[in-house]
Amino acid sequence: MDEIRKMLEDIGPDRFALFVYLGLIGIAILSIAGFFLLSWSWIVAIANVFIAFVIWRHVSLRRAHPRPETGRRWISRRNPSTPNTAGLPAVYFLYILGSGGHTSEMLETIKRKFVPQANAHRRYLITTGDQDSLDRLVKLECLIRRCLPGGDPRVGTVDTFRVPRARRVHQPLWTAPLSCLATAVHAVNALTREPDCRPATRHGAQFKYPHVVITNGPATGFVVCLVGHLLKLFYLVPAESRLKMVYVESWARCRSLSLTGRLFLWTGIADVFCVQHEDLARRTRGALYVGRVAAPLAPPG
Amino acid sequence: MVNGVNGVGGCSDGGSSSGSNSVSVTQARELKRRRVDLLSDDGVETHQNTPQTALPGRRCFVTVGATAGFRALLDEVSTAGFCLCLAEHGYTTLEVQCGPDEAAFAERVARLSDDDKHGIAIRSFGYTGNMQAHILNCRGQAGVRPAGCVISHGGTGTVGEVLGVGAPLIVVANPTLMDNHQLELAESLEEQNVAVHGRIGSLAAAIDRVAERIIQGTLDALPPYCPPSFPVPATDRITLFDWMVLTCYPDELAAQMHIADLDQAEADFAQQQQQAQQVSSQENNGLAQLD
Repeated sequence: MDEIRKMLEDIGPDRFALFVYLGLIGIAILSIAGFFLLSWSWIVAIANVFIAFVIWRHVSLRRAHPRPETGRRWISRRNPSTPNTAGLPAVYFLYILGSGGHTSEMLETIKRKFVPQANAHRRYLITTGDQDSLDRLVKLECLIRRCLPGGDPRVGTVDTFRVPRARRVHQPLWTAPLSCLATAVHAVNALTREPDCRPATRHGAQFKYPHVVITNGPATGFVVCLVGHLLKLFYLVPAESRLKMVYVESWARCRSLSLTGRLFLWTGIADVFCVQHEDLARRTRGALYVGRVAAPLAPPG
Repeated sequence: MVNGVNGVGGCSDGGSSSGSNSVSVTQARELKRRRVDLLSDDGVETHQNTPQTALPGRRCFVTVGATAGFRALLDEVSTAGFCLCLAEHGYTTLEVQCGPDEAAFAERVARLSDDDKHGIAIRSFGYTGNMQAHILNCRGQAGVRPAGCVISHGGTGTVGEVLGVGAPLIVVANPTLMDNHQLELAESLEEQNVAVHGRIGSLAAAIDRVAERIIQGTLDALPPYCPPSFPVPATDRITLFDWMVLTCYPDELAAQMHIADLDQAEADFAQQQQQAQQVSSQENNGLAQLD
């Protein structure tokens, strides 16, 4: 148990993230200098070009998302041999754990999707000070190790990252942007730092960025996905082959979307938007009904 | 049965302390009478098989979850009226997970006299790392313990866990949370008939309804709990995320989609043939009968 706990210790920042921050600071300085040096017509022209670029990228990224029909087709194929990801060079998931119920739902989802394979890496994002989630995560990892014989490489590799919480329960909405900014700064690390246990010397760039980011409703998840979307937008991460984002609306939402859910749907940054109640799926355009994926199935009888 | 007689005396007390609940009190009385009848019917049988005294009393477990406090629920369960209701239905233990309000709850319990508690043992704690043990204590199991009930806030973590275990459940939505979202889940679960939607102010009525469910169903005599298998069988597995990984490798995705489509077509064809066979065999049978 302690071994796993040690393995799940936070790993530090990354050089790439440092470049991103330096770049951001550079752009900020340049734009301030430009504001004073350039005439208004130039500022407006540059801003227009920039906005047009962002909108064009955003729209083309949204176009590339799989459509809900495709998702339904995937889910309906109940064949035990497909999809098979064991033959791929890397399978790297990033799970965003919120707190309390969000964590329970996410851990349940992970349990229900887990399949032992040696090429899998799991990264968990935990908010700082959330000891409860970490404890439950350790339990899950123990469960995974218990079901496989000792030393089996098919358990895959694991690491965790801490980020500050985007919005605490009961925190007023108007102070949220500040704490979100702190989360965003740390999220760049979490999305770009390659795992220590999968070094580039052995795996090349295969494990550099996560393939799929899964979140289920904490505000932290939205901030992390937004940062991921911006990284894709500015060509910092290959958009077509990394950072696919899946949003799973909480099982608690049967008739209306949560605030995070509405944000995801409105911005369209999630590649797939899943809901767990048929009623809600009918009311929401572009949502994929996936059934009860985040709550244990009722026992027989 | 002596307990039941006491209960009737106590019931009128409860009515005078909260006059607005007179309807629910009469309902409770009615229900309890039914329950006593049922017990006396079954009593003969159970006496012959196993001595009834071996079973412990019912347990009620109240939980407010790990994240936010829920004072209204804690205040409601620490009243004399609620303890009386529990005692009437054969409960002997009340366990409460209080979250941040542990001290306030302990103070309220200390103010209750022994008469107010009606023989219910009340235990409370702030948080627990092993929720499942407490929930399992409320799950009825044949020959081990009768079904109790879990009174939970509407958080999906706890609700999911309780439903997974199979203990009777009362969901009370915490109205102080964002857009009162827990209400939706509570109502939906009530509609699906898997849990009782409890409301602050009339929890006793919810306890009555749980008692009804216990009598109607087999909740008192479930087989021993066995945790779900892990890793889950391939037919129950969530595959969506693996398909998403495959979208990063378009060639592989196309190949596997092709295989999946072929398999699906094959399965559909086999099913159609089977149906056709069934129909034809039924026709043959019909013809044979006519002959």
